[in-house]
Amino acid sequence: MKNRLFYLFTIIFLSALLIGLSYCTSSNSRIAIEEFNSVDRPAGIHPDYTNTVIAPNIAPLNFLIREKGTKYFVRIYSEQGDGIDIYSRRPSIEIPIRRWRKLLSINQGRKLFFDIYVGDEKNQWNKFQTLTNTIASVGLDRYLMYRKISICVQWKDMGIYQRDLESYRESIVLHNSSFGGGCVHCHSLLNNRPDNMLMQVRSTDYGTPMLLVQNSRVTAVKTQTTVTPGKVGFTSWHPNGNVIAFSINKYRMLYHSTGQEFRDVFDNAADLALYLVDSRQVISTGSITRPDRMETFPEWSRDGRYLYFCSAPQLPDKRYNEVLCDLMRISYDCRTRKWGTLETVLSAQQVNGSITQPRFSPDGRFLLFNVSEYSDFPIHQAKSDLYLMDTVTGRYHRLSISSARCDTWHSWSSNGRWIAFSSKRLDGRFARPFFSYVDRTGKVYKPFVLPQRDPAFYDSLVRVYNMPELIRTKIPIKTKQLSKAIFGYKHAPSVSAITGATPGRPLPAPKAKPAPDREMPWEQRE
Amino acid sequence: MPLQAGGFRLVVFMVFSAVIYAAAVQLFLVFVLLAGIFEIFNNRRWLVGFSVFFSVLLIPYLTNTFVFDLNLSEAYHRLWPFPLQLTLKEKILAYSFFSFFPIAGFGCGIWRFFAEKHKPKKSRSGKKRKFSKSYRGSRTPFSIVAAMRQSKIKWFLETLALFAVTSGVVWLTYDPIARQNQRIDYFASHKMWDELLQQSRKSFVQSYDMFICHDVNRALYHTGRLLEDMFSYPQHYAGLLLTQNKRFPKELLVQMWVKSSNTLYELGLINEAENASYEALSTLGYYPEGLQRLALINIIKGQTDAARTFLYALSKDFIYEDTAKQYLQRLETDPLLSTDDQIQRLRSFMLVEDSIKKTTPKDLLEKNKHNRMAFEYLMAFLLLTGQHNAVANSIGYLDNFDYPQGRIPRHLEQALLLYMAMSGKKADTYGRRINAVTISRFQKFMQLFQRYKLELQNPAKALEKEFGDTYYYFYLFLLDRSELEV
Repeated sequence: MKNRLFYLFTIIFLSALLIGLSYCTSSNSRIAIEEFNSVDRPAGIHPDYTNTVIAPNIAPLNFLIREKGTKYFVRIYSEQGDGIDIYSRRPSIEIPIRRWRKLLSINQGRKLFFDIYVGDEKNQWNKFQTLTNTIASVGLDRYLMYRKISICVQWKDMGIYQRDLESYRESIVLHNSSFGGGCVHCHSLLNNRPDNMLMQVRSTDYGTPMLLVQNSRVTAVKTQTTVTPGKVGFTSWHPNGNVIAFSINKYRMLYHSTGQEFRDVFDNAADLALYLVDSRQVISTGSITRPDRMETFPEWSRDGRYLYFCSAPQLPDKRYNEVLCDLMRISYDCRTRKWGTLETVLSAQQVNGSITQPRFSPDGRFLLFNVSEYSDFPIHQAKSDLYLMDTVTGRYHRLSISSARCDTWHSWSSNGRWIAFSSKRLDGRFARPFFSYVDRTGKVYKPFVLPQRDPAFYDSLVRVYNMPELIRTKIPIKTKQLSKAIFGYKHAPSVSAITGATPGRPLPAPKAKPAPDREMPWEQRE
Repeated sequence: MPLQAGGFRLVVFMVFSAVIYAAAVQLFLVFVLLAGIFEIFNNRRWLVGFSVFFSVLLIPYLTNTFVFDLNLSEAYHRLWPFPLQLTLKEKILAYSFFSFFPIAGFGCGIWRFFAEKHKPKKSRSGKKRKFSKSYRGSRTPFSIVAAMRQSKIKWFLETLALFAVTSGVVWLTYDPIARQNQRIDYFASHKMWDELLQQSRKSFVQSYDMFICHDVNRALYHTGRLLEDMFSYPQHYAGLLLTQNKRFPKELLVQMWVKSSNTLYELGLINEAENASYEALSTLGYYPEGLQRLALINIIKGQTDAARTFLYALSKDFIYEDTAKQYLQRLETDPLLSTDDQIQRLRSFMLVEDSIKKTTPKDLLEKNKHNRMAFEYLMAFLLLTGQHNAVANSIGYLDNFDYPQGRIPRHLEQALLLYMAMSGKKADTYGRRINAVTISRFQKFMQLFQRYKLELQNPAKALEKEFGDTYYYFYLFLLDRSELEV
């Protein structure tokens, strides 16, 4: 009995200690700093959450104060409600989530202020200029879906994840370890909803299924036909949800002997086709499977009448740096399955670069796209910019939020007021997810990085985020369902290829054979 | 307080747990499970046992909040001993290994539990009930083991069993080849070149693979003996840089990347080293040497921000923490580390003109004619591919380096002699002399070769002992021409 009491005491003591320590280090103890020196500049904080528009439902923007000191005090406030006082002995500021949510929710459309004080051992405090952000009146979709990978070719650790933007919860949608390794990529959704979702898989053991999720049911679609190789790349959902445009790319890695980006991607062949969900057919037309050109990055217009895509002349790999994509479109009637004629929407010459990744805003008014120096795979470019086209006026411009580094893989929120994109702006090497607010006129505001509980999270993360897609609700599918579909892919029935919808030619035979890897390590023998 | 007291045991356990969590986080879970099982089944201290299990939540929280400064999810995530990306086979092995002791402990506990139930009950007077000799009904496995445990030779039997099991495991698992290879690998990664060369001389012929060949050549270069002694060791041109991926099965690729990234980096093929380092890092998951290499590569390339990311990642490693912090500090004042000789040297080697062709030490020499490693590796490659004519035309380049005045490295001398003998031409030695011993040895070899060729079925064997360490022996008997013509 005596012993039991001792154990009980030990547990209670440890728990009390834990609670006490947590309280001491927690940032909520209210203190008042009455005497301080005013510093005529804003405090350095990291990540940069200043002068930006933030979503009212975003998780707390924890940050590091980059000023020398031994104690830190931050007051976060707005026009209404109680402010949040945070005192910390470390420069890392962690904002309590409930109070943050409350503060933001009652101050939508108003300014959010951060007063930062830094103190020293002598209890002398410096108060820096107030940092200001604006709380948008419209929120982000609650979840972000993205692929997180290492920079490598042997995909050992790769997965598609979803993150709750209102908290810091991240969960795996599909990790390549669940099907014995391989590549999982190019997810796309219809109207930002996970009810209609696609993702692609490349597996040595199980093949190359296109995972089609509809109404919580997963199907591994075998797109291989007598005329298609069955490796789907980029996809776009027709607004009717029954037609999926997809590209078939034959990528090859190139390696630069010098320069910032040591890798590059060359497309040996690329064509487009449509997958008709109801009838399980693959169709295409000669205009989007031209042997002298590559066609990639399909994107349906929001009225479903046009298929937009990027196209460039097919070149040999030694001319890799001359690949310049134009933005094209072709009309298509889903009812009659009739294709129209090709039109060039915007040429590479006009923007002085290669146009890729066109994405329409949900209302169809704005078209967001990427321009890089060359290539149809901008993520490996040292620099690529985001451009916005107003489809009403036809005017386009480079977004001022584009950084000096690579900004790519952009997507829209379901309400059209936010964009998410991957940017290498933080260190030039690793792409991180960023968000920018877009107002009704198409003005895009300073982006901010996806907040993490640990504000130094990105500083040491040697993995990249790509294809961030905003989704309205949590993906209802479990990893097991997806992997089960992959395992059953070999037994999946094939789809039929109909090229006669409009008389076409067989879908893409590789147009150029990739050069075989040299067997000798050095270029030539004398 | 006696050692047996539950509270004291709990405190000791907590301290050990914290140490194990900090030092070997992946074993923490196993440790806690074993301790908990022991307390519950062996000591019958249920409360202590469950408190021990509770510490799985407590220790990571306390350690990470107050010591490591990580976030909570990461703290708990670290507990899982297996990386996500294991294959099924690896998973089975890893899970078996880690779960063996807890399962064994649990099994023993259950055994004891049932054994005690089957224990002969004591009589009311406290004495054990005596059974007649004819009683056979209670001979259960529990009673047999219990009888053995009570036997006088219990300790002897237990020790003997333990010894037998240990010997059996050692005997069954001992792999001298693997041991030698690991030693070589260790010496290479710690740049213990002399030890590496010494060890590789002792190596088993069947274990001499491309990786050893690669490490030996690297060791020879760093000890200034590549062009003097490389043919004293088994050679193949593919072992020089290990850049031919097709030669390696998938499971060996990571080793190839780790090793080749070192050599490519030292040569100055910075982008190629970067690529190999990324592949190794991504495959291994945790590879602090790779993080350091990538940080340095980015510093060399002037990409300080990216270098910082690698250094911050490296600073989370217990062993490399100080190194990483030192670099980070230096980057504050000198973002390009322009005062660092090693960085400057490699920066001067780095190629300037971009190309998507496979780069070679030849390209490096065109960029910087003083890149000695590039020169020696180029010469080694020419020798290993039988291009002594090209070697003969390269003697003039020796002047770019600090080779002894008037001398030519031994294997280049041998290549020159072979070139002259085969082509009948005279080679320009740029004022350097071929050593008289090399000449006489070559003459003797040629004489014997001509004679043995006619007289013996296997002249290679007859000549191996005396000339096996020469270029001309390699060229005539060992060079794999069929592969070169691919």
